[in-house]
Amino acid sequence: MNRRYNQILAVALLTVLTAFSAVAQNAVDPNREKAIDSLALEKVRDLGKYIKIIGNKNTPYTEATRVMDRAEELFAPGSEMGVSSLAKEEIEYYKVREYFRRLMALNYDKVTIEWYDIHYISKLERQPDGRYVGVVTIYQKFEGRNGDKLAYKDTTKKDITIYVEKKETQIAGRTIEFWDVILGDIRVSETTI
Amino acid sequence: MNKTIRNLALLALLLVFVASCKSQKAVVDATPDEPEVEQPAPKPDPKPEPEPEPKKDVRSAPEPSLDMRLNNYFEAIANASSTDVANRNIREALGLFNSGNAPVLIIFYQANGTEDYDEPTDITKYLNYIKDTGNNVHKVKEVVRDPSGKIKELVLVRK
Repeated sequence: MNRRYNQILAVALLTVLTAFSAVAQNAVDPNREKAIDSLALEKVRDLGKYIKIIGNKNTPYTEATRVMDRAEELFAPGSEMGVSSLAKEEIEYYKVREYFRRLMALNYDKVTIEWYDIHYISKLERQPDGRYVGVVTIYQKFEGRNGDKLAYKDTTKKDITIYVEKKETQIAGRTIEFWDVILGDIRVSETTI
Repeated sequence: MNKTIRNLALLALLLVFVASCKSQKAVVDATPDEPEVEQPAPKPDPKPEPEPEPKKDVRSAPEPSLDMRLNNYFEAIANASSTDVANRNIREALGLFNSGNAPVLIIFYQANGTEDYDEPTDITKYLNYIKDTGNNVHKVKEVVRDPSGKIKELVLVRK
């Protein structure tokens, strides 16, 4: 009887320890979560800088193309970018590469694009599949000039869906686990002067 | 008469015997014995000369002079006055690496012995990233050098 009791106790203890270990593995160190948040935000800031370079009329074509490649790599395949104008109500959506091409070809002598006030409106949340999903808002100030004359300007508020997931790759025969930050669609939520 | 017949029979037997011996000899000739060739005693295998130890890659923290050179390049690229100046610095910096595709690993968080990495990139993309964004936010944690001393892998960490 005593032996049977000990066996049951051992099994119960093992079960509790296994469950505890699983919970501990899923629980993320809050500092680590903060670091992942910052990493994702940094990617959005990078995109703002890439867009500025692509739109800049002084950027040589080869540089603009290289930067387009880098910018496109930030996005999930098939992602779209919303484009608005003060002149019309509807918002048009383009695949990101098409958006970059159109941006580069804008018919102004000088184009200035600035992203600011970049922040989360929906914090990264862990999904059942292990991915983190969040939404970041940015404000984009756009100015197009012909000669010294300001031809068009607006400020657009845009929401960017962000996915973060753990992946692994081989580097020199070693497996490296890394956090992959992927941008999804960019939706226009507001356009003002 | 009988004696003659006996003699003839004896002669015939003798001829048959001789012919038989000759025939056997021919058969023997047809399959000549292989001459016995004295096999040289097998030489003992020469002892393989010890192969020179292959030169290995070396993983280590960068020595101060290399650390300073890399950080100077990062700084110069991030704050370059023009794209041309930045590109010149990128070309120079790439001379320290065995390939423009040398992997760059970026640790963005480390605690309790675990390290979290950003998506791995390569040195050409990384140097261009610094140029495009002006972000000079990483320092060198580790370098892997090939036997010729060129950097074949770089590990960075946030400053």
